[in-house]
Amino acid sequence: MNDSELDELLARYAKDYNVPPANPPLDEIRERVHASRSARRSRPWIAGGILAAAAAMLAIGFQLTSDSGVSRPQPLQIAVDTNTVRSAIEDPRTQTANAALASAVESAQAALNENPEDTYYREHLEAMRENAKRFRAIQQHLSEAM
Amino acid sequence: MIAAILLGALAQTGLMNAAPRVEIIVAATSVVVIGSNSARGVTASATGIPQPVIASSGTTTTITDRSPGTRVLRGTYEIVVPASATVYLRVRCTLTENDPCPNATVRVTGVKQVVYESTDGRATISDISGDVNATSLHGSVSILRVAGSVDAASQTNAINVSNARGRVVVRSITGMIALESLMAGAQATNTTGEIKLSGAVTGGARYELTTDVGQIRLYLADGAGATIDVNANPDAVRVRTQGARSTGNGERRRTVVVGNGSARVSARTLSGGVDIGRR
Repeated sequence: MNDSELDELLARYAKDYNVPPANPPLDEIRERVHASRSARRSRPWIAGGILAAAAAMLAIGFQLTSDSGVSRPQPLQIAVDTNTVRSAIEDPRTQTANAALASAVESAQAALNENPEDTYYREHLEAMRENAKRFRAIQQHLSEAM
Repeated sequence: MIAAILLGALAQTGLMNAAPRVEIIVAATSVVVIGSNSARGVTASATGIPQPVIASSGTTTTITDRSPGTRVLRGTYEIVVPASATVYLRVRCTLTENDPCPNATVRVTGVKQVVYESTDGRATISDISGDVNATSLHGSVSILRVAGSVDAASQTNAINVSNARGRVVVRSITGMIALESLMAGAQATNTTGEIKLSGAVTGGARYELTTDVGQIRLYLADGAGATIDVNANPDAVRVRTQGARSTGNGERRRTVVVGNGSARVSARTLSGGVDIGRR
């Protein structure tokens, strides 16, 4: 992800963010997940295709990881569970966290604009951007992996 | 010469990498993984839920739910692995089944290396002879007594790391980061959450603590010394350590020397406070 893509993403985080209600809409989330699950069940050929793809990924993943001679762990290649993907992304806590990331980058940028010669503010902006990038990667990885 | 070539080829293909590897992908409300020096190999048992499926290929063992799906199983898996094993543990959680994941607990102890991934739940990883890599979206992670390095992240929940001998890198967005007695330094980055560094620090090691609006708390053990480079709102900096020498008082940049000043600490917060004291 380059800087302009990150800026765009953070802007979207900030724009899309609504202050979460005191009681997160869990029922609504569950309804959407159940609706998605029902739709998936009504199309068995898709489920079969997903299963075949998942089995292939599993086989490739185990082959790659089991033959590795390096000590650094390699990520697993495991079948995708789309319901968990949806819940992880739609979880209000993730939305809150993304809004916090966007806010941090914005405030760091504003502070740098006020103090353009101060290396601290530049480094702080870089640290906040790096944190945003890392967590975006984590969200994507876990969404795909679970 | 030929022997060297053969050894190189074996190393490349991983045939010499005989360390056992255990991959665990389950969805249960309780998962316990214990490293053992006995020669029993890998065993897994379940309480209150169907027994898991165990499959082996070469040095790799995989353990999965008997009926994988989105449902979180309300029971316990207890898995015993060789103490020399690298454990890849993925605990699946979902918000769709009465939201059980915040109650899920995971415990891994006494193995060589751990890679842990989850969306939620509480994980405790302890007594690891190698490295730990732990990632959770909303779950808490506690990592205790690690001989190698630690790389941990939780976007909205607490991360605790204590008594690690290798380098520690920790990230969060809104969760609290608590670090204690880290021998080879640390890098902790947070956004709205707090960062606490306490206990022993090592002379010459670097501890870099950065948060946007969170507090930074430094509570060093008696006898521990550090030179602390503070960058924070001067009105929000408090030094409560007897005998600490401070320069730059009243300014955003300030240096505080505690004890012999041998460890290097960077405490940076854009709009949070910094509290320095003894544990």
